Amino acid sequence: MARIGVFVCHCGTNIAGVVDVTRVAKYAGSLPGVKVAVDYKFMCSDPGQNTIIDAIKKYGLDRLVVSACSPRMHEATFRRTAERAGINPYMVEMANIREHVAWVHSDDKELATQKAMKLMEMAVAKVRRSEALSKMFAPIEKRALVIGGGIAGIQAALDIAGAGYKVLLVEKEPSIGGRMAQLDKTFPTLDCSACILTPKMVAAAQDPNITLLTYAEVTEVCGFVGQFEVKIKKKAKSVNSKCIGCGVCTTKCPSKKALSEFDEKLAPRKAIYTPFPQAVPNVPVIDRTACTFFLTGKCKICEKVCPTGAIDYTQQDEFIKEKFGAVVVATGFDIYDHSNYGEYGYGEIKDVITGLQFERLISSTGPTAGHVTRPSDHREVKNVVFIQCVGSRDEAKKRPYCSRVCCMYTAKQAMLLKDHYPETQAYVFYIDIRSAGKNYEEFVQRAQNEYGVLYLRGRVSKIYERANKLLVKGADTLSGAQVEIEADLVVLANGFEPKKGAKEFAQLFHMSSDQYGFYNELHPKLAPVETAISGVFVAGCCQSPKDIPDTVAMASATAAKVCALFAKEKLEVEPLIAGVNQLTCSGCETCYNVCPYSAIEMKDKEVKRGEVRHVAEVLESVCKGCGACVGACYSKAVDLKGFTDRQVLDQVETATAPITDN
Amino acid sequence: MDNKVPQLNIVGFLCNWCSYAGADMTGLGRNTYPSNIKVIRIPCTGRMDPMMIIEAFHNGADGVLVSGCHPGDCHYTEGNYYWRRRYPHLKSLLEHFGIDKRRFHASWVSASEGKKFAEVVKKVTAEVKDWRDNG
Amino acid sequence: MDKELQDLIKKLLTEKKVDYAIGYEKAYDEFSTRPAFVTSAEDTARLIFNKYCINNLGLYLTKLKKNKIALICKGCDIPTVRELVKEKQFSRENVIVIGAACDGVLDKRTGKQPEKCLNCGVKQPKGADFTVGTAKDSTTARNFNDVAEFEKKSSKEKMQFWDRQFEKCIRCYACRNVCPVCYCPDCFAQRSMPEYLNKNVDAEENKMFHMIRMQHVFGRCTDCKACDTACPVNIPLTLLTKKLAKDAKELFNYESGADMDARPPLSTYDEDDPESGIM
Repeated sequence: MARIGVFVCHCGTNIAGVVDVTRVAKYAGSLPGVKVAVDYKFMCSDPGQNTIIDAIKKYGLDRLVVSACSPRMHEATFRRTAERAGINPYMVEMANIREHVAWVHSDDKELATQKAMKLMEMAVAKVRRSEALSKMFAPIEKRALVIGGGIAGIQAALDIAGAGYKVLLVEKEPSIGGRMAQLDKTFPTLDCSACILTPKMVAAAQDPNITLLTYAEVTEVCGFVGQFEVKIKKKAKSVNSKCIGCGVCTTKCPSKKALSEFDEKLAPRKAIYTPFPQAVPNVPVIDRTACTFFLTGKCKICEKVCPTGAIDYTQQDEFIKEKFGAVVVATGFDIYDHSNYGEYGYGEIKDVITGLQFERLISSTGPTAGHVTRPSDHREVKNVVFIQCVGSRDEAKKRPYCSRVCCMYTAKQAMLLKDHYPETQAYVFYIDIRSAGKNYEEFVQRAQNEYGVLYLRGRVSKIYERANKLLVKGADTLSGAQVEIEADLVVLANGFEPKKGAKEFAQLFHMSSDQYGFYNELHPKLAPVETAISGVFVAGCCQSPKDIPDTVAMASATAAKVCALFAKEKLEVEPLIAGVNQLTCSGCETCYNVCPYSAIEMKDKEVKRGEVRHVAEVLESVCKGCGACVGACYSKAVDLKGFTDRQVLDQVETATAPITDN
Repeated sequence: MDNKVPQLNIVGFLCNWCSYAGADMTGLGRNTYPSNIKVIRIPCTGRMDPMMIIEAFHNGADGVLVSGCHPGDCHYTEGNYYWRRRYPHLKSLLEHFGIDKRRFHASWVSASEGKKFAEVVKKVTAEVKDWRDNG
Repeated sequence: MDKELQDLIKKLLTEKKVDYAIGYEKAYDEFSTRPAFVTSAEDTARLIFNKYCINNLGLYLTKLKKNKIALICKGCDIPTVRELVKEKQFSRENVIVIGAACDGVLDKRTGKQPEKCLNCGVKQPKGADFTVGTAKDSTTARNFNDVAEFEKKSSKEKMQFWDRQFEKCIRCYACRNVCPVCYCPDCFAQRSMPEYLNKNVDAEENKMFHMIRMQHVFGRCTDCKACDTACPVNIPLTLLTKKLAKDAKELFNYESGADMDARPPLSTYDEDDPESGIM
């Protein structure tokens, strides 16, 4: 006979404020098999857990029900509690009377209490059918895959490699460096972005533990933590390993049709190119959609001028398949496209540019060698208007979130402008200034007080071109006046949005995304770099907009998680997996056909003495416990540990029975 | 609708990774819904043996809701695709036996769709109530 | 036709192509036949085929898995063989399908042809290894009109209808025992851990048994009517099996036992499957 203990948590007033917890405990005490039922303020606290442990010893309990919060929150906690008191950790069930009762039924305390009693009773019914299970172990491939070669990916790769593990760093573009490489200076220190990034890029390239794979994309993923099997497409660079990076081909290439992605389309680039001079690896690629030879069959100038014979027009896309124990996803972000902002000219006014384009204009390595000139007529600028929150905090554009860095980068850009051209005037239209961060507020104050940047609190209603100028009409809500500024250039503080194709990429790993397409972390506070897919971690702006220090911190955090995983000898695997009763198996192969993990093997086996049958068997280290086989088996020969038919049926039966509360 | 619908019993089977987490999110956001639904956590809608649903109705459930991850988002890749086939077949078969289609529902609720879960439960409860009140 | 059949079986047995031949023989009166298991050439004389050969002999394949068998099938029984081969219950090489041309069987309870014979397109069997006799297929195509008619009833009426039907049920399990795809080694109905089904014989439990059985055979049932014929209390099980066939066709464009390459509807999926009202 089961000896069950029921522990009802108040969660302060979170539960007890709505649910009559003493009544729940009293009802629990009346249920068959329940030897003790108590309520307590905080079950998850140390004294709370000790209450459980003491009760286990005093009443000789062999299974527990904790009526508290979501099992997704504290199931692991109470399993450990049970283990500490010598009970099998899988003899614990939770009744979720906080998220599923108190917080959602606060409008009727009586009904809430009745439901709490019912959910507790269902957990008791389930735990009565629980069986002791033991943990299993699986091997770990101690090699990490980092996807995305921006600052997040580089940092994660360096940290993992620094701990002595092998890393493959995959980047879609021909060079690592990412968005940070495009920036001129960084806030709030105004140090040169390239100067602090380039050494990291070089370090990543030179680290013996890191393999760089640029111009490559992940196309297929299977497997699971410890054993991911990933297919990667190496796009044809048309340049082989003989390249020494001399750059002659790039100089001589006659094609100028393509626009530089790195320079945000402000300048043309060659068909054979490296994105920027400090590219790592310093090996050019041929853009086959722009190359004269690939388009017309004639040219081959690069081949003629190459001193090492590195040009190879016949190269094909190549696929490789490799195994990894863990994956860091650091795929970055895109800049919000403002072409649906009518008030800013639908993206059609040439001298209304994005913040990132401004970075390229003011950068000494940019297309204008650092001269801020108008893209339309290349005149130097006098008055520049900056507009914040473009594609951020804008419900109408379905971008209600704050992109977090735009206030800061606008202040930076206004200061850089003044530094370069002391006679210019910068105006900033803003909603609020958000400058939380070390030395951030001081930085914005400096922009206003020392650099004389004029901050106007309000929205811009219209920008139109008049006589070589841009007329910016807006409101200054602090003075209540309409303002009209004659500007030479308008710089929009475009917010961040998920990278194009982010959702499709997420599906490769079965990661979930939020409504915008940013990847979901496992827990917003307590597991910010983990994802719901164990062994897959997220770093940087693919998770949400953030600045460089936060990105780097997050990247290092993922590295710590990966290293912690790799430091283990073997991986502990949940024993909540499927099992076949071969005596009742009819060998129809339905389970074998539906299993998403190929975790079922069909065998001819002697199931009874003298009776060989074609039956299914579960490969325990491969099974992930989804139960697709259980749902499909009509012979009822497969069952799922922790969610057995007996358990579910008893839950169903209890759920539909009336409460017998006296 | 009014959140108080006495004497109506609805069993909800929610997949652990999306819908159960989504229902947790409903709580986090303090969105309210009728208390008739009693949730049973399952790993995946792929685990959902139609038999369990037949058993629920047999045991006297007035309604059943099965909720899982959106297609393409299944934690186990494919489970919800199998469920998406079992559901229309089972619904049709149950209706053939006289179990009104207002009593059996399915939904996709992701881990971030707390509000949607509340809406789904309200809708399901209203449908079941409609069946009970109006036959 | 009997002679032709007997000679063919005799030949197969003599040449040791098969261990068993499963066919029909005359039973206690001239309106009845029963399954005959013939193992020697001398014994073939008792094999007959006539309009009273209503049983689906495919049932016995799962019981004689290890043997080489010659199976006498009406056109409507052949899908059963395919379904069982698909479900790995029998290997196709081990069975020689002998198609018997059939002008329709007679249900001796009514003295009429069952509905399935009226719109039969396989009177001349299709997909058999050998065929004996000739028959003419009916010109009208198979339809689901009777099921569609029933579907028009309100759910309350449907429930009342089935409640009355299953009050008659004595849970003899004849329907299950004659069903060729009900081959599970241990039927859920008889399990005790967990007890999926109460062992009481009452209308509710009976109904649940049939609901679960119907769910289990969905996409596998070939609508052969064996259960309907076997039912001693005349529950119109055909109204259920035909519903399964209709749903399989309408929801998944699937016909049990028709296409060896088509995956059973519930053990496959398409990423573009319709949402079917899922919220």
